[in-house]
Amino acid sequence: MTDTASRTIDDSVVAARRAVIDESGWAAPFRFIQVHNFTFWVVVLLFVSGASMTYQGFSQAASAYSASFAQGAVWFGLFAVLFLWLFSRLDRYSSIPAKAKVVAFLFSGLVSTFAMAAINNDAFRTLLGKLISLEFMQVWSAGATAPWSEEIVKLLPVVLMIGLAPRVMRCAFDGLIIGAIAGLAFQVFEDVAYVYGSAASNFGQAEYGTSTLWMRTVLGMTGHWTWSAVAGAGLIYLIGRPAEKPRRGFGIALILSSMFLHWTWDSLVGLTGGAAWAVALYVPLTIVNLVVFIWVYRMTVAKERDWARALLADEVNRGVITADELEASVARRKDRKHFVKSQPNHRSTKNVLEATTDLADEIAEGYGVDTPGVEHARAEIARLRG
Amino acid sequence: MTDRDEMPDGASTTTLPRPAPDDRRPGDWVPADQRILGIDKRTIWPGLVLLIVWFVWSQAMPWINDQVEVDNPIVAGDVINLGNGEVTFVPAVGWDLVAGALLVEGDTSTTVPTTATLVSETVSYSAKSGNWDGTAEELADQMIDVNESFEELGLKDEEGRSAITNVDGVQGELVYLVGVDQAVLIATFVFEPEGVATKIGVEIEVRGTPEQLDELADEYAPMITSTTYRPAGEETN
Repeated sequence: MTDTASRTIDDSVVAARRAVIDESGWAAPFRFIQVHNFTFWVVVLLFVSGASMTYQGFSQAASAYSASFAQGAVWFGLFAVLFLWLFSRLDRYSSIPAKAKVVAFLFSGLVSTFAMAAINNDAFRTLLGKLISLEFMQVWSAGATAPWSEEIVKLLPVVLMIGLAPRVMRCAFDGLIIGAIAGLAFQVFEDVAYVYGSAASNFGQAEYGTSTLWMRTVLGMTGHWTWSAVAGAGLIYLIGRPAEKPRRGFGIALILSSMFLHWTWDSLVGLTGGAAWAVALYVPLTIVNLVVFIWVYRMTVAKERDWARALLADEVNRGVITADELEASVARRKDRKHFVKSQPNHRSTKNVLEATTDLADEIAEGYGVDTPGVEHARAEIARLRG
Repeated sequence: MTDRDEMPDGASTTTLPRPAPDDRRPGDWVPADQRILGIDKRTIWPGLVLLIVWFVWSQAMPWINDQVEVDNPIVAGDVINLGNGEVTFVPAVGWDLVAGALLVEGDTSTTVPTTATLVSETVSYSAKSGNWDGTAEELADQMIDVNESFEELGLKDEEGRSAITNVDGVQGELVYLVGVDQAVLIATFVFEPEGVATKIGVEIEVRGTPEQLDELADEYAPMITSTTYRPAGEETN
């Protein structure tokens, strides 16, 4: 990180950049194996337990309901890749390292889903059946169980990431992204189980799994990942981080909003008396899920954009980019598109904005000094400008 | 790991002949005042949160559930609804209903589960209805395959297979499998509702040791034969 620079630099600029890099954790590396880290050992233990339970469940299902299992695994694997790509587009500035995202995804999918939520859900729902009635269990137990049982275990990747990578988890936006990934993983692993479970309910006939696959895909456009993203940001607001002052009441409100939306989603049968038209309510609920997510995303991403603006400020003084380009590169997608269209050469403007983000990453990687990587990123901007 | 207060005093206007060194601590470095038994103290609370949630979710809740006895005995006149009020069976009096729904006159709600489980002290009886396009014999074969995948019986032998008839005269299939320490009786029926394209299959599994299954045969055998499909309004057994 301390490669020799080709030119001298003003140390006040370096200091200003380093202040941003330290506060944001931009380019902070992620190492999984940390022998002095207690969280690491707990995560390893839980991974072993979760992975073996998931393997056992999935391998039996793959043998008993092979067609359905294969359909579910392939389809929801692609679904996960698509959404992970979308999330990486959202996480443009001070991005969370890919390795950390993989750990969060696998922990939620293997441990939260099968080694925690599935066991707790079964036990608690059965308990409700015994203590209240089987009728109550049938209609209300999903809503009485999943919102707390599942939303809490989907927050664990945020907690473990604070333990494993405190420099990466600096603000509410980091909680939003890790939460979204955790929710997505929970959802796709659960969906695979729903698909073969549906085939199992019809004695292993795959076509009944296929209809469940379509239904879960449509219903999965929002839901688990949006609730967990909002709750993940809420958890960071609740406990506070170096770059995020605690806003405890607001944090709790965000977490409770996810639990409430989850409860509504799971209680439609009870709330509507099992009416056939109730299925139509998933449309407004999907919209509400998405609106809440977008609102929290816009609120939390503002800090990341301010960091990007501060890190790149000197590049305007140097003439590498213009002030307008800097503003566009940290603007909302709509404004960025508008800027690109306002310029004579759309393609090259778009590339320059993309390369500006690369330059910010290189500056953070070099810890604020002009490394060959930074110089290269600047040369790229000049080249792309044509 | 440089915190903001550890920044170089950088507000000067001098230029650096070389890049300022990266003075951040290496990632695996634990300050002396943060160590306890070689572990970084700051990493303890997140690990503890994970352990506590894992313990409550996967150990404590199932334990609490196990402490509460099922107390939902079947009384004379109860009928189990396996879906739409059309597939039903008459459970043995005194057995506990663990999962499933009793038939309520006139209730054709879609929220009724298509499975039911009853337990006596030693034997469990579960029944499931669903769509099935084949014969009762094919359904029995399919369920033997599924059971094999789940290896619930360990090594097992098919000890016998016979045709059975329900109280309405519909023929079904009965298979008896004996495993290492458990035996299972699989019974299947396939009903063909008039005017409906899909046939309805019902599969019943009775589990226990071979001795227990022998002992309680008089109680569960009538449950099996009472399994019927009758169009809505004619379901009274």
